Amino acid sequence: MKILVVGVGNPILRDDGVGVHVARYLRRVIGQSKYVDVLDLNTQGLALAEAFFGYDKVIVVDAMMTKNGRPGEIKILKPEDFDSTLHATSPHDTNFRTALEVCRNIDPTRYPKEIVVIGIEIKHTTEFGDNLSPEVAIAVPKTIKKILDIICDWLKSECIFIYDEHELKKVFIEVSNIKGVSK
Amino acid sequence: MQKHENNVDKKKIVIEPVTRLEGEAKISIFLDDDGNVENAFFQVVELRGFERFCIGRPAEELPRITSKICGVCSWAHHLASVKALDMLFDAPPPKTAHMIREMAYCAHMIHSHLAHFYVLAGPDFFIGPTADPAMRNIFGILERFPNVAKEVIKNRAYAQKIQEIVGGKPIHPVSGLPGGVSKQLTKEEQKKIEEYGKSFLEFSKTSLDLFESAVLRREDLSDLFLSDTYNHRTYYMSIVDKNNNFNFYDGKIRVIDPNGREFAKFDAKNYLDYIEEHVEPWTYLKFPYLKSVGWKGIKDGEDSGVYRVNSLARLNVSDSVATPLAKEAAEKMYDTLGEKPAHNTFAFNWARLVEIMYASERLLELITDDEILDSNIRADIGGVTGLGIGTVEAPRGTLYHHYETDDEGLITGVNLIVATVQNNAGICMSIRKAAQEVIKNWEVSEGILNRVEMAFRAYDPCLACASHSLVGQMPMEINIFTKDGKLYKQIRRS
Repeated sequence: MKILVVGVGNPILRDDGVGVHVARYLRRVIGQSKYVDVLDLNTQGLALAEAFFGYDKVIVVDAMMTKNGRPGEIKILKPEDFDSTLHATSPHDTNFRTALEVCRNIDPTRYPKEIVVIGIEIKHTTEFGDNLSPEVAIAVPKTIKKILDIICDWLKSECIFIYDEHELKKVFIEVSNIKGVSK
Repeated sequence: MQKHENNVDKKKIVIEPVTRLEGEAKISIFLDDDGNVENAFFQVVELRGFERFCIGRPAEELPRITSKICGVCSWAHHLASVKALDMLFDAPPPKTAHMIREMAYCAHMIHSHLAHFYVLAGPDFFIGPTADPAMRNIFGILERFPNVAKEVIKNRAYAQKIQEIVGGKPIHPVSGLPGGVSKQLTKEEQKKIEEYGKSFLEFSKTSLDLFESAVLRREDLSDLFLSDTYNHRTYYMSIVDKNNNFNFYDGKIRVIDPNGREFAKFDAKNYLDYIEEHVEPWTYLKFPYLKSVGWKGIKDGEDSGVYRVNSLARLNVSDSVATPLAKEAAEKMYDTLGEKPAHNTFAFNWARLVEIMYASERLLELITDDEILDSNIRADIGGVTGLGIGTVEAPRGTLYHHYETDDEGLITGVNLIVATVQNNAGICMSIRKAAQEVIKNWEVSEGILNRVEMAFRAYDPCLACASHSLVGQMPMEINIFTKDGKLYKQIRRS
């Protein structure tokens, strides 16, 4: 199984970049893996959906602002939770849902069967800066934990997730490569 | 503000866009005493503090920072920025570095224009502006032209791969450096890029043919391009090469008047002698205008300093087109439109197709020249001059980056003039005309959202740079006011 984790957002627009912060830390935690690719993308709509080709499952991490949301709150969502309109999100792009449908229609065999969206409630977003608000920053390790849980669940038949003391990072090891480990 | 409700774990969550998303496209229309359109304005929300964010940083960080301003125009910002640094650090790049930058930039143009033409503007043309909205979208294109849609995605993926090969990172390039680029191209990469280029060329031909058969031969559609309704007789600006043909990457800046006569031609570094910015109290977006003509309000004509940039502007400004097939396509466009410069706003979409062809041909020219493999890809830094001004033609028009530094190369001032800002007056004029068509004597007709959207979409505006969101569609809000400022009607996308 090939998994993509993509952190979306603008890293120089304060909390808007929280998804990118998550992706960068996650990359350090996971390192190189044949199962999981981690990307950070400051993009949306079509360019985002196009990045999913060739993966079995995808996790998208993005900033979000909802009506009664508290900064730092984490929500796990599905693409169906987003608006199903056919109009654009910006004049130069389609909305996320439309973009997903377009790509899936074009080549369903190469398109992920499952997409999970992790939304992190944010606070500041109309101001340039590369730092997160403290309450949003706290959500970064929590989100990484959630992502790892999801990945481990998806990969449970193929590998286990261990802490490599030598490399000081966590790695996915194929079950078949580890003696005495049963899944 | 629109709402939509989601059932997640049987718990109701209401997701509403707020802050900058809400303000992304707010259109205010003012009526006269008879209930007809007097004026229309286009507003976007402000992102604060960019200059403050940059001040004190080493100038060499700016290509990396500015490319993040926008997820759509990252290459344009990156290259305008490294060109400003070429000047700031007195480091004119060797030829191969220019070739690599320009070649990758052609791929960026293709990537951007394909999305705009097929996914955004295309449905209005290929499906028809009055067609059922349920079909007038990318899914309508998928249904009617499934193979074309596949080719769009395939060629965008190729363009993306080229940008990755050269830029070092998907979406946000990091390879441009003052004086050149950081990475030499290999023979294998050259071969791969050439293959992609051939695919672009073939698809450009298909696109032009399709446009002719599916759009121009239909009277209701060709009328859109031929009617005066969306004409604005403005000045036009573009970067041109030594033969006065547009070039996306480098050259002098040329301005023509509404009759097509050369009005000005200057080096980017002198732009402040030619351009000034007008400020209106109701929007943070400024209105750049031609200094020597002056600001006469949001109006067209020879007496108004309003100019337009973007695809049609580039073709209007050019004496010809530097590559053969694109030249042919441009000539056909002007023959059909019956004038050059052409002033019809919808022709920006057509010109984008011509440019996809040009970008494909130019990319192939550059990649098949073995000089692009040379190892001399970076010049030594000459010193810190304290001033750097760089320009490129972004997909949406001329982009200026202007940096000032202290003796150590730390930023003391930044000024960016982005393409969409320069089309601000044009966008307002086009929206006004569209609104005049659909609002008559206090009657607001049904199609207002789409007509207004078509008008401003022709400019392919890139608004709140870096705007991305989880919350679905672009909230578009049209407020119609009476002469005394009372809200007469509000229309929101639902």
